[in-house]
Amino acid sequence: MTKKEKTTWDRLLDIPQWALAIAAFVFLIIPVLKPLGLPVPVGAPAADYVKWIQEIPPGSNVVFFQEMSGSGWDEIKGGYTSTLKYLWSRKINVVIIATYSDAGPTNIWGINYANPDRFGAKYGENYVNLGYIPGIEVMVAAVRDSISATVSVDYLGTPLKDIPLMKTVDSYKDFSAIIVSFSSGTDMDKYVRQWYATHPEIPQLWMTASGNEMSAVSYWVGGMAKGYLSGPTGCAAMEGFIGEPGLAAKITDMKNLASIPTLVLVVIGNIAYFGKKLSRRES
Amino acid sequence: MANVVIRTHIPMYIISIISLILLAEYFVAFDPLAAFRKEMLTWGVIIYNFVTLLGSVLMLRFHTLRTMKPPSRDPKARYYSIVAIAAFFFYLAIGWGTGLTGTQYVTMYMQTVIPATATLWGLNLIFSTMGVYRAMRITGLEGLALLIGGLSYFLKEMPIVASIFPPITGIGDWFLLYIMTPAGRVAVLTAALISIVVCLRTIIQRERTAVV
Repeated sequence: MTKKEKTTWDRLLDIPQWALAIAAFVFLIIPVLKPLGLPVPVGAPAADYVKWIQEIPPGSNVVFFQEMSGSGWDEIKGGYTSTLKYLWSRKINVVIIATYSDAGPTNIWGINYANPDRFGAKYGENYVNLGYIPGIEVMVAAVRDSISATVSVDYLGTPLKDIPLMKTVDSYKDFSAIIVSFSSGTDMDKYVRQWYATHPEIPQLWMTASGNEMSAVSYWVGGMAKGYLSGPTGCAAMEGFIGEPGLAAKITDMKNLASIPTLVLVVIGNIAYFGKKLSRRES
Repeated sequence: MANVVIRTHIPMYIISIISLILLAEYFVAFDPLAAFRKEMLTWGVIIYNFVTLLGSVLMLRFHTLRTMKPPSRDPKARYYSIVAIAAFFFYLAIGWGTGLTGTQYVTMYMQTVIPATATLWGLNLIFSTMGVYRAMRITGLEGLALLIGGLSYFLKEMPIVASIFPPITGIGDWFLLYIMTPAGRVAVLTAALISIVVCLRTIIQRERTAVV
């Protein structure tokens, strides 16, 4: 049996995986070595996030549920830190809660990176880190009703009764907005179920990995989330808004060239597919 | 028979009764029901914590057994298990010693877990490139829909494309709003309806997957 000779179309339809991997890697590494610094496009959901965050009155309180750790953290860390910077610069008090245990360390890192001292934000007065509170959805519901009934100490073990901010903040009544960084495509549901369903008047602003945008967009259109930051591009929009391009802008820059091989391959794949079809028909 | 009653019937009755009360509380403003819900939430947190602890114990048991007797098809599994056990106790020691909020623990977490998971995530780019190359071919209507949907989103996320062709952001948003949102809503609504059906079946004891 003779082996059927491969045509050019066949070769184009079956580029070896190692070649694709090298192409993707080379295009990824170029902006790391030489940043392009192109302006970041601001999509409608991110524009709404920026619009609504400006509506939060100075001096009021927000609760920030943070779920991200691991790989997801890289996607939203720019949005997380720029949001904190903005809230502190407007003297908005923030109560930060880790919804999952591994979001505790990322919270501490993010708070330190955002540098509250720069904005004169004092721990216990302008922001509090309650650390990880177990229970996931049960916790989200319990915090809505009463923080002091859910947890008695902050992340350092300081009793809540000794923290000035926590003397004035306890339940949904005390918050003018909730900010959520959710980790998976269904993780935002619990905030809709437990907060929006009972208190739709409290605006929700979200941030998440770009892969979750397809799930988040329905809630944004429905008004459950007033706006959201999707992945590094969305987060870079928030960084751009506060005038401090940083963590997200760097990743967005890398995405620029890294996506080019993908686009080229889509074109090659389709040309080869139709080329092969045509050549078959002719023969 | 007694075993079946204890393992399935009693948990099913507990689930049904609690679900009914929680459901009623949602629609009826009655203080004792609200108090009961609050109590259930506390119990939920306690059970959740216990399950986390149980999970750790089971993980340790699994890896200890695998260290002592690795599966014949993968003798090297013993070494992976040793690493898993060592990492568990190392993190436990640092976490216990310096506290989960201590600089050492946070630094260790940020310098090990985050880069490791970020690397795995980064590899996605390479696999996605391979996948997109093979999947986004216009082999039919579905392929065309996937290509248009995927590309509109893909291009809008790239600043380089937006700087050359600014309307791409609006075009991408249009697809997101008017093409992908309806599709997403169908998925969300279907999942919600299925959840309601499963809940109702659980209450009337027709759904036993939670306990069987």
